[in-house]
Amino acid sequence: MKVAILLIFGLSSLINAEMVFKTKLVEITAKPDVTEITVEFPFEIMGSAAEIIEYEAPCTCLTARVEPLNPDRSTKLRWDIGENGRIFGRFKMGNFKGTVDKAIVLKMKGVDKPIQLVVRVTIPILFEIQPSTLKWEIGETPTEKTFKIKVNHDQPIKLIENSGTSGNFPYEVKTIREGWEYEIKVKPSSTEKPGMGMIRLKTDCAIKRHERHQVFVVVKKERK
Amino acid sequence: MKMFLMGSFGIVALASLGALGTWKIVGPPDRSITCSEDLLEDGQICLSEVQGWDNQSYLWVDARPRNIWEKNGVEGSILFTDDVNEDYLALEETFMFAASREGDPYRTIVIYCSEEGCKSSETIASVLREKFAEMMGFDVYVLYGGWKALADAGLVN
Repeated sequence: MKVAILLIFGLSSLINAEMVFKTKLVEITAKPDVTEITVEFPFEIMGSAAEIIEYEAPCTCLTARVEPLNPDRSTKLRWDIGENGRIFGRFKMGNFKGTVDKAIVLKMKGVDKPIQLVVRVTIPILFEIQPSTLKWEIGETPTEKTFKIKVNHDQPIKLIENSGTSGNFPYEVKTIREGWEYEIKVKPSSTEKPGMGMIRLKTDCAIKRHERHQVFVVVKKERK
Repeated sequence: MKMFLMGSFGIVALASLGALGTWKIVGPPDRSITCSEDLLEDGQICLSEVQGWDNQSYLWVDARPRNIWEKNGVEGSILFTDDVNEDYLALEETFMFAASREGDPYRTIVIYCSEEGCKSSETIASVLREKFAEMMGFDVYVLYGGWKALADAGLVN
C-alpha cells in the first residue's frame, strides 16, 4: 500500500515540479568602470520535487551556476521539497551602454515552458551625444545641423581626436566647456545625391568602454 | 482505500497507454514555432508576416555570436550582436552602412536570435530604435521564435 501511494505521488511530482523564485528579475545599475557584475536568484522547492534538465545563459556575456553544489562538487540538478538554493549569474559588461536585459534559461523536467531569469543592467552613458544621426533629404537645403555632447560624469572627459569619413560632410567641433560640453556642426556640401558618412571621436576617458564614439550623417531619399 | 488506489492506477495506466499510442501513430509532439498575434510581445513579429513583404524592403539582423552567424545565418543578414568579444562600434558601423543602403534605407529591420530567452535581439532592437530608427525612418522588429522559426520554415540550415 505504502509503495503504491509513493508511486502515485512520485508520478504527480514529475508532472508538477516547482522551483519557486523570490524574483525572476534583478535590476542593477552598474558603476561606469565596472567590468563584471554578479547576480543571485534564490529559490525554494515548493509543492513537489524539481529537476533541472538544462540551464544556460544564451549570451556569451553571462555565465550561470546552480548553487549549492552536491557534496562531490557536481552540479545539483535534483531538488527535493523544502530545499533552498540559488542560481548565480556572472555578467561581463563588454562595450554596451544604456540598459541591457540578459536571461538565464532553466529547462525543468516535466515542465514545457522554460523558466527565464532576467538580469537588467543599466550602464551609465558618460559621454552623451544627441542625436546619434543627422539626416537631410535629397534636394533639401543643405543647412547646418548640430550634434550636442554632454559629459555625465564626476570628472571631465575631453574630446581629443576626431575624423570624418566623407568629404561631403564637412564639420566643425566647437568646445562649449572643455571636458564637459561640445558641439559638432555639420553642413553637407551637397544634398543632390544620397550618401552617408561617419565622424569618429576619441576622448581621454580612462574607462575603455567610454573612450571611443561615433556619429552618422546621411543624405537619404524621402520616404513616401 | 484499496478501490481508490486501484482506480488511480487504472486511470494512470490508461492515460499512459493512450499517450504511447498517440506517439506511435502521430509521432512525437510538434515542437515547431507557432506564431500568432496574441502571442506577440511589443516589437515582435511573426515570420509569416515578414514573408509577405517585398524582400527588398527589409534587412535581417543576426544577434547571435559571430561563429554561429557565419555557420548558419540567414542569407543577406548582417551581424549585430551584444557579444562581449565584439567591437561594438565596428558592428554598428557595418550595420548603419548596410541599413542606409547608400541613402535609400530599408523600411524595416528584423532581428533574430537563437531562441526565446536569448534577449540579444531585444537588446539590439532597443539600441536601434533609440539611436537610429526615427532619423533613418525604419521600423525595428524582433522575430518571434528567432532562428528556430527560420529553420522550421526552411530558410536556414
